[in-house]
Amino acid sequence: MTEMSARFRRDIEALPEVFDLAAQFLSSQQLDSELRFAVDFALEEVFTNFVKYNPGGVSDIGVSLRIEDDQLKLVLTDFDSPRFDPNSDAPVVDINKPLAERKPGGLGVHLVKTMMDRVEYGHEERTSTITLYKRLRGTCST
Amino acid sequence: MLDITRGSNDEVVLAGRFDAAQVDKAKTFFSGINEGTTIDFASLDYISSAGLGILLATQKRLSDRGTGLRLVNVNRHIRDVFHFSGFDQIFEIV
Repeated sequence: MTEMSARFRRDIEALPEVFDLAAQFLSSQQLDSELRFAVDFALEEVFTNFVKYNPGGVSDIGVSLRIEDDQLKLVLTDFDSPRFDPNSDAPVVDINKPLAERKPGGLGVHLVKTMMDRVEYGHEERTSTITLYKRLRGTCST
Repeated sequence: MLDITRGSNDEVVLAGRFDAAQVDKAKTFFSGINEGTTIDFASLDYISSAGLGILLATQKRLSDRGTGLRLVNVNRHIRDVFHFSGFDQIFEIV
């Protein structure tokens, strides 16, 4: 199977189940465990942002992982949400600021963009979809 | 799951995964750190921005007292995250 997907309750406590789905998928595809950190990181940041920044949301959150054209493709869907495009609406993070000027916020999106090869956002009929791509060349363990 | 314990030299030992589901537990522990402290990452497999936020808040608070956290045995993935965040400039990482 080159795709796995599931819906998860809108709760930070559901994160271990999201990580389990990712682990099952990476294992089923014999993908290098090197990918696991970046995949878990990206899934967590997007999932928790859906939960935190859409407190009125009541729908489950969809997560799917698939292989497409030598890329790992992660798709997270919030089925009832306002528009928030991480590519244009997230605060810009200056990683060179000294400690005294550092403030929390925005770092997760910055890190996801750094660790993934591409981030796409779609919003239609109150459904937000964030699609993350990671190239697989040289990451297969076989 | 994240385990937080004290080591034999009073260092803080983190083990497991420091993700958003662990924030309440970690916040309670780190808010009790009031002096320069070594944090052993040897058994920590994963950290997300939620964990980074707690470390940053602790470092800012300690910095006001002229001290800070010292991070040891940081694995490559977590070291990369610190680098991408610029945290390698604001923490002592050994």
